[in-house]
Amino acid sequence: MDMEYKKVWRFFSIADFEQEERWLNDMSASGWNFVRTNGLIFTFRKGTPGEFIYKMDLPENNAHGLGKEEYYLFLTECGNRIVCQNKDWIYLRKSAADGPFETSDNTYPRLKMVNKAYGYANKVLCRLLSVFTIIALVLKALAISLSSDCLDGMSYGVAFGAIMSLALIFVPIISRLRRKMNILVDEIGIKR
Amino acid sequence: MNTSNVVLSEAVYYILLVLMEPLHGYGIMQKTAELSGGRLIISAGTLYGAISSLIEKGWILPVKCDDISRRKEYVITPEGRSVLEVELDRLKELVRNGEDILNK
Repeated sequence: MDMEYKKVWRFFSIADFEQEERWLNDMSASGWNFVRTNGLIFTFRKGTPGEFIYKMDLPENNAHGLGKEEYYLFLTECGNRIVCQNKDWIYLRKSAADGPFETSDNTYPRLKMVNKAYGYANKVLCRLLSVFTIIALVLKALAISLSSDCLDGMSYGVAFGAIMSLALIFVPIISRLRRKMNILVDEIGIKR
Repeated sequence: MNTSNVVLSEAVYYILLVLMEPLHGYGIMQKTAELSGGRLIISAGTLYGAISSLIEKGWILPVKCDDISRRKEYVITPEGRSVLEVELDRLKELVRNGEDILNK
């Protein structure tokens, strides 16, 4: 049987994972089942409208959580199918006929997800910062050993550029996630 | 650990309750949904977090099972049971006071 596929370019920041999830479910409702993504290109396969529902997840980041693999295994044992993984993101799917992933009054699970995303955003930021720091240090070391002014300037350029651009990208993401967390924490004070 | 002042979330209350008999993750999800008449649906991710915390507190235990699928099962501990009993008394108090005041 011939499968019909389509690719859609779309970008969602870490702070927009709930919008991304909604979009995947809208696509599924209109008959396009999510297959995979690399963070920019989303591939869909034509199917029956509304057959599947999707949910995005991240591995547990707390100390008592067991390994990633164990978490993935648990998710599949509980009736979810891991459709695709992109970096730390896990895309889960289940049959719409089996009911929703969770109760719709889900303040605590949402808080938990936003908290995981917050941890993930911090992790990505730290990783990028250390990569750029290493590049800057290597350039600096080369500049000293070759006594090259050009390389010396480049090392400062890389360090300064990296800090500026990472701050511009990550400060809004991290502060939006924190705002979301604050709202949910207040809600939990009323509901639980 | 002092368990006399613990207020359980609805999800944890039901998880402990259904673990009066050993169940694996999927079993817990099905049983809690069934007990609550389909009202309480716990996602796998939330359940995983709850199970890890409850094991850490010593309120539930993973048990070996000879199931071919090697899925881990969990069961409540005596400490978990006493947490449930204290919680049940608290819930009764809530209901009693609610009924007394609203039906006055």
